[in-house]
Amino acid sequence: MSAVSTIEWTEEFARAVRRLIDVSVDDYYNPYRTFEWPETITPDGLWMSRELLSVYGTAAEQELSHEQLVELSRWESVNLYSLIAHGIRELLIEVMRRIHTPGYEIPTPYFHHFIGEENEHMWFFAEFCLRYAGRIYPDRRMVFPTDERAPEMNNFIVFSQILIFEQIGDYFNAHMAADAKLPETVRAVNRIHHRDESRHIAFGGKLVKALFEEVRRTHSAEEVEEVGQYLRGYIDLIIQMLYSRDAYQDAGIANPTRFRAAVMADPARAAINARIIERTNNFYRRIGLFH
Amino acid sequence: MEEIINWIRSKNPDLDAEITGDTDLIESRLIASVSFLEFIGLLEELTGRQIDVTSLSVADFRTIDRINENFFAPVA
Repeated sequence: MSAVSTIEWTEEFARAVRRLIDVSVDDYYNPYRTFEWPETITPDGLWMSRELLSVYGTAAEQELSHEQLVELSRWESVNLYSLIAHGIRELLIEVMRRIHTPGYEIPTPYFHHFIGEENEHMWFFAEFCLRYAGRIYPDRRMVFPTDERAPEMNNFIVFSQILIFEQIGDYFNAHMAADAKLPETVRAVNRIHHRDESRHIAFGGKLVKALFEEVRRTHSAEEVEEVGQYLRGYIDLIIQMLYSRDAYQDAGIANPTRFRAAVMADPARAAINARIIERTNNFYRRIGLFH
Repeated sequence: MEEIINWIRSKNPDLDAEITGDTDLIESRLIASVSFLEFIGLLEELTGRQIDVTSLSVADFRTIDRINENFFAPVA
């Protein structure tokens, strides 16, 4: 498939790729030696910043004891890191499909760093879940055959999904890296991920912008509008995944399905969800997809 | 099945056609990947059971008849 062979990579994009490669090389670390993995994580403190918990600000939060909040923070961490691990697997598959194929000659040198770093992120997030919770939550998404579109549209959607996923994940990572109340191991995995992701997000933004220019050249305004709706749905899906029935159940909350519905519908959550996706919405407004 | 049809209609407010037992919900995009998680949540609520998505495929959700067969019939 030479779907992007017509893409005009600008000199600015090529310069950014070279710059990001230099930073990746300079910042390279051995993840298998970077982290200290203590036997246990502080059992009586939160594992996730309170303001990042899915119940924050809701009526349901008031009903939970401190012990229940701690337990919930533990399982919501597992949910977040599991989502990140599953998301990385999916994005690696898509980048692997494109590396060293016609049309991707310019970004390919950076793809090597991206793939290497993402593999390492997947390892340390999975390691955290398996060491301290004994499990990774399963991926509850499903890819439908009708998601396939024209190649250039498909490329734009795939790299948009990667970018959206990384931006939303980074909202959590950046916050937890800076939260001095959290256990050091929690802060460390979030800190390292945030540092690497700032490069990936910078790269992803430039790549998605170039792919969107291609979509605008080759598709009608209606088709562009439709893909915008699709990506809004994808953003909403990621938000929904932050409200995990599995996490509520493992935290010992009675009737987790109803609890999830009540928390998601709580009026306090709308403004919080809007903050989580603010960076993404601003990006798509800037490139001209969202209005 | 009425709750499921109502949910599908709520996601597709412009839909005029009738949804029958063998309407292809996937090809017609009445259920999309981006709303799938919400759909699974609805199924779990209606059946009272947790659904292991990893053991299922798109075909298991293709029509109302298949959904009925896969998620509701075994309980009876």
